[in-house]
Amino acid sequence: MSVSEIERDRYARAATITLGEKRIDSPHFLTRISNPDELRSLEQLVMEGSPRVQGCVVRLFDAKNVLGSSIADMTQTRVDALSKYVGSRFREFLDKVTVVIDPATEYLFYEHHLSKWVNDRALPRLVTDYARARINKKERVDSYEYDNWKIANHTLFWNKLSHDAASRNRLIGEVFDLELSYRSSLLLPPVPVIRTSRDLEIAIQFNEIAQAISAGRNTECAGYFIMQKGVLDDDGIIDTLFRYLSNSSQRMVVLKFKYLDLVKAGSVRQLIAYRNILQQISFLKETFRDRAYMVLENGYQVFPSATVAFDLVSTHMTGFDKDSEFGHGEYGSWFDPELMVHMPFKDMKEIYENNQNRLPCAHDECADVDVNTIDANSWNTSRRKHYVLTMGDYMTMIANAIKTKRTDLAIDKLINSDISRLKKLIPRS
Amino acid sequence: MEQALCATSRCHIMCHITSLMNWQGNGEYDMAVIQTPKVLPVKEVISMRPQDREHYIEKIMLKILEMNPRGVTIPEIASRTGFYRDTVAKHLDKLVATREGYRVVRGNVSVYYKNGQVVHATDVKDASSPNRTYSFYQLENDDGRFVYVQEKELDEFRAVTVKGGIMVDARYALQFLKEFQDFLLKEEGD
Repeated sequence: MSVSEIERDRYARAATITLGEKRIDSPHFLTRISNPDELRSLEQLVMEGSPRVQGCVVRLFDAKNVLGSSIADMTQTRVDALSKYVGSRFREFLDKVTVVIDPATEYLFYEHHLSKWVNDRALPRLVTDYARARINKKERVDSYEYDNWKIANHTLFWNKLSHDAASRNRLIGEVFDLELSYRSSLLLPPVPVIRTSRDLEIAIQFNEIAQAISAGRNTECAGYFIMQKGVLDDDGIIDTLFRYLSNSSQRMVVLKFKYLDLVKAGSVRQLIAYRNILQQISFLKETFRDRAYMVLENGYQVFPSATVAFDLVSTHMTGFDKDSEFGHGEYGSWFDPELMVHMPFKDMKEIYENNQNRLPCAHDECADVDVNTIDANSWNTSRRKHYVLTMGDYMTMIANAIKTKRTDLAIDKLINSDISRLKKLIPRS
Repeated sequence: MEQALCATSRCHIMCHITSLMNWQGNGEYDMAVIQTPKVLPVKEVISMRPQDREHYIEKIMLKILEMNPRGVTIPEIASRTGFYRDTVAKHLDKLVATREGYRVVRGNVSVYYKNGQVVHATDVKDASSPNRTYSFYQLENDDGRFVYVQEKELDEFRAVTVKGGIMVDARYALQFLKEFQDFLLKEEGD
């Protein structure tokens, strides 16, 4: 992996990041995809040569469903013309994009997707056994008892792994093998979600060992830290983390702030804490110019994060990274490029009519959308593509602002949006 | 000064030995400290899966050779890293076999070196297999210039593994090529 800085404007920079044979211009948006339909939508965007759409993130437990069959198709020799065509198209897609497989081991703590760990036989046995025990326990005891047991069991699971070198090293090796089998351009180790300083110790230990285990693989191993949003304002944990990051040799660091939503009222302390984190990363990036930083599941914070600190940013293809307990509406909400928030479908009809029967967006993909007649599936595909393209536009916008030394334009962009409180994340000087 | 004047391999190794061994007053000698990268504790290395362990140790060995252009011996590496001598020897021999390193033997002492500095490199895909590549390097070391052909293979996880290699003295490379061509033509004729 190499990073070459192209332009710098105070705290912000534009760079070219080379990961193996892939090159990415930073700042760059890598969308997270979680089903084969989203893969197909992304594939179309990539094949059409959309600017700054060169990568994607897939969670490890989603990877089989999203990429598994396409990779199997690609690696098998077919004689009939049709499947050969599909295989070569996917191969071309893989040649163009940077795939990052996220182990997403925070879902060994959070309930959502727990069942997905059990259903994939390719996943490490240690993890599937743990998930199965959790599911079994949940069925047998009441919710209060289960909640207490869950926290204790999760702590015990990672503590045991921390002390049992053989199991830990096997788990890391197996996760790396899986990530590579799904063509990941970056290796991310399995780490616990950081809720306490002990979790951070374990995460650091796993990252250190992972660097060694990745030695034989021709792929960059990143430092990976998943944080619960509650630890953002824990000075002890954040100081330890940044002390480690400034002394470590990892050239790529990936962070994830779980369920962070700074647009929500009542998150002032987290907003200030996140601003400090962005500034610390910006400082690290200035000190170690050959390093790159990535943030996963960053929600509405993507724009300021890419402006100030992170070279690579990511959210789900819909723009939502929350795990909802409830089902989604048939017609999903649309991301407004000006207001920088999602608009419910019911409001879209009015917006559409007021805009001379066009969506207020310049993408070719969105030009033919007729809000009045479109079916739910087509709408949901369109709004996903639109979101990715909009993020690509934002990244181009930021890169151009850096080149012309006008990064402060990003503040103006946020001031004129519905997420104006995030302007505080961008330093004035 | 004495070392700078050394040109031949034999002289090179003598210089190495004299520079590495520091005579002590009691008639024993100590090995000089070699440069090593940060190495995991042996307990951690032993706990890795065999394939991960092999790759890790091999990478450490290669790094040590890179960091010590004046050469290293098996006991030096073993004492600094904590790896068994047999393990060190096995991995160094593998690096020699794939021509990533070379060994100079003098009596009972084998000194290992990284195989020169790459002056020029080209990759050629093997038409018969999509997973195999031949890398052509022009190497320069104390013994002169060499053409180094390295056979690399992509494993199931797309990691590149060096499967083998040959080194030909650059002065005789064309002659080698002619011999090779003659051999192929003779094979075809048969």
